[in-house]
Amino acid sequence: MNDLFEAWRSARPPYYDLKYKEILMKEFADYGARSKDIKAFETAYELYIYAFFVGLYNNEKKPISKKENSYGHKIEFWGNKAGKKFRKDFSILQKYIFVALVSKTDVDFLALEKGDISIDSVVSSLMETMEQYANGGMNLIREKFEDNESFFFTPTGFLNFILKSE
Amino acid sequence: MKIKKLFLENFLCYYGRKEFVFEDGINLILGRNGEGKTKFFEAFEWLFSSSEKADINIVSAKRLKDIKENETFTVRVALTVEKFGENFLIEKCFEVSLKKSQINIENFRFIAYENKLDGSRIPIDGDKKLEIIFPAKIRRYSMFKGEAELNIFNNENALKELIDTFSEVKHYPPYINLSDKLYSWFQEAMDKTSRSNEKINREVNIIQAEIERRALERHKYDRLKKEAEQELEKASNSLSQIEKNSERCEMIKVLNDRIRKKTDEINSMKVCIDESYTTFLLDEKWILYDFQPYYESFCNKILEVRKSKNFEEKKHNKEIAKKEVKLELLNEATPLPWFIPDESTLKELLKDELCKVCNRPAPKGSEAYSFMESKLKEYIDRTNQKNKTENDYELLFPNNYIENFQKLQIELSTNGINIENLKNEIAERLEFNRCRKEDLKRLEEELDKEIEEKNRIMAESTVHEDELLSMHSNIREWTLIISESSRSIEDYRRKIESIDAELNEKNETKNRKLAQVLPGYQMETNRILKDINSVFTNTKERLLSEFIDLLEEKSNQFISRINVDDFTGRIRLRRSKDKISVLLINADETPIYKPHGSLEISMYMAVLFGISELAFETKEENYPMIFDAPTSSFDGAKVQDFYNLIYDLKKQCIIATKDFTIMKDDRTPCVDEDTIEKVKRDKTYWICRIRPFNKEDLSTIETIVEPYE
Repeated sequence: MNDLFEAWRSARPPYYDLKYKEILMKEFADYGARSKDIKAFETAYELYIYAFFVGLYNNEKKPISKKENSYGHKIEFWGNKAGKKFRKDFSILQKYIFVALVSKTDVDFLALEKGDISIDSVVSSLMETMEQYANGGMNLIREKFEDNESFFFTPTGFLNFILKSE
Repeated sequence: MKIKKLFLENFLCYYGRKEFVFEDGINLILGRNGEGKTKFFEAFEWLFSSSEKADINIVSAKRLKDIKENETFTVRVALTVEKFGENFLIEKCFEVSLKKSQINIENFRFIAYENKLDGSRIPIDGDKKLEIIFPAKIRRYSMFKGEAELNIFNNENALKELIDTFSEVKHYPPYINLSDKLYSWFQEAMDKTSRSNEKINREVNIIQAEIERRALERHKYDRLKKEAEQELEKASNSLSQIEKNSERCEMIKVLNDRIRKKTDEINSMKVCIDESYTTFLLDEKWILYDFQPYYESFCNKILEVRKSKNFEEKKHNKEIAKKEVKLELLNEATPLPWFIPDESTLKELLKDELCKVCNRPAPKGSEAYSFMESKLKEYIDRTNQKNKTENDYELLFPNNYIENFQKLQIELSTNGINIENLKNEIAERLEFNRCRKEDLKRLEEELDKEIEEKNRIMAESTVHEDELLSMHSNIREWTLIISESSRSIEDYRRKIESIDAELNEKNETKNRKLAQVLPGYQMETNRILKDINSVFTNTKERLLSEFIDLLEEKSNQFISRINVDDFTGRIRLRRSKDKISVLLINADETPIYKPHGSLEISMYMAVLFGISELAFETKEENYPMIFDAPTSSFDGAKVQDFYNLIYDLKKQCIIATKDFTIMKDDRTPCVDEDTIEKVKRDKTYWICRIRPFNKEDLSTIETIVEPYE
């Protein structure tokens, strides 16, 4: 296939830590599109992307203790908002996330070119980097939420949080 | 009867204990709007109402806020009155307590105290005592609450109550009923006797049948006349309302138009303000605002990998003496990938003999031309590689992931997000929304002012807004109804008169026939019974007319005193069976259906004063009158005339008003010393709320009461 990007984004959905399912995912995302309330994020993966960038910009990587992936969107579908009213497509973010992962993951790309290591192992490394940054990001969001319960319930909450995390 | 003192304790805005001591003549309670005048009037209403009991809604909000656990306080309205030289205290009160964080209301009492000869006071039932001292039927015509409850006769029983209270007419109905019964019993007896003569009986029966038929017809016309009279009254009232509300209607239309425009502006403004910042992080890619270092790191990494790959590849190719052409760059620099530039671009450069990257000529045979030829050959070889079998030669790098990295890098640099601009974009959007929100706040404040103005105007109206706005479109309809109803009433009246004449004639014929067979004494008794019935009925009618004429005359004396040197018309009290209505008429006896606001108020107050005079004449006792904002539609000169008139009446009047008050520096309410000095008065109180207070918190409101000397 020779296309690592395609291989990465069509692999499994990334994991997140089970402990964030109730306190973050269901609180701020329309988890499973079942909520009657309007949530800050329309889908769980949107919150996941946000958490990834928070972790990335703060260089906060944390391994996951108990894995959970029940929200189930593969990366290749992230940001595809075709046909959605009031939303814009942001699938290009897949490419930027991939760029960040290639930049931040320790992979011997010459070995990959030579065929000495498998593409699956590289995909797995990229995925792990992503999960660790997202997990780190979620941890920072949780800390802020515990510190100030109303912070994320303002229109500028999530924006201010990531802007200040430079 | 005189009211000597009013005592209020924790009643609505009257926090703690407040006392008003009244004189015999005119007592003014001065205060601006909202300072407690109406609550003062409502204290009387609450005390006087036998149905009003303990109610948390009349407890001072400030006192309620101050209450502590296990504490109890009293809410009280008490009145000291003097009647025939004796003083009575009547009080209504209840207790409020806080127990286990629960507010309780208990110990409601409505009692009066009677002084005994030995100086002791005995508590008795307050409601009963009040009824003796100040009867409800008198109170009904002694209290006047602003323009909203102008029409004192707007009540089905108004006429009956008036008669029962003030007129001898009330004694007549039982006698009329009795004589009616006697007359009809005797008629039946005569009928029985007449039946003994068949011929006469037949003739009487025919006449009787005709009488009954015509009586039914009369009844029908009577009903139709009443319906037409009701229609006329309704249409007249409606036209009167239209005139009274005409200016108000225009103002409401203008305000509604302004409110609609402002609301549209606000809605458009709200659409402009999109604060979906969390969504913008993804949809507008704001989340990449700090991504530049990561992108650069990626590019560097790819470059490094490509360098290494190229180095190893060259080394490998040399080793296996690969035949393919490899291009060497100066200083052993890393060449561009084989697919940059592409085949068509290279062919174009060769054709034009020009390097369009560095804009230098590359004629055939030159080093530059040869380099481009070799680059094209490499491109073609690489593309053809796919067709070669793997066995042709051994590759060091069988995979080519790096190539796709490079393509991704090019794609993002040419068609990707302008990351450097994102910070500005975010700042601009935040600033835009901030400015629009300021605009929105300003618009909402302007809208609030318009709505407040509209509410203020509507608060003075007695009709609902929809009714007010639809009134004007109905003017023609009402005018038509008035004209048609008047014509119909006249028509029915003529028909009824004609039937009455016919009935008289038939009855006489019937009686003549009966006289042929009945003894003379029976006929004489019949006549006497009929006369007795007529005497009672006519006397009742005469007394009623005299009573109404008297009230009308007294009312007219007052209206001309209230409106000195101004047009008044004459008050006409019109009776329609059991109802009474009051209207103004011109000198030519035509009704004035559209009296202006102050004239209409003058009219009703003149009637109230008239009733008060009647009360004095029939009960030989003067009763106090209590007014809430009686002069709100009067202009300056008439206000003074009004108060001076009341002073001259030498009656006890208690009047809550905002007349003679001003706002000093647009903020501080105070008595207008210049105007109050021109008014004759016996006692004056000044009421106002303690300032500052929170206009959104009722528990910060307390009205203070000060005698104004």
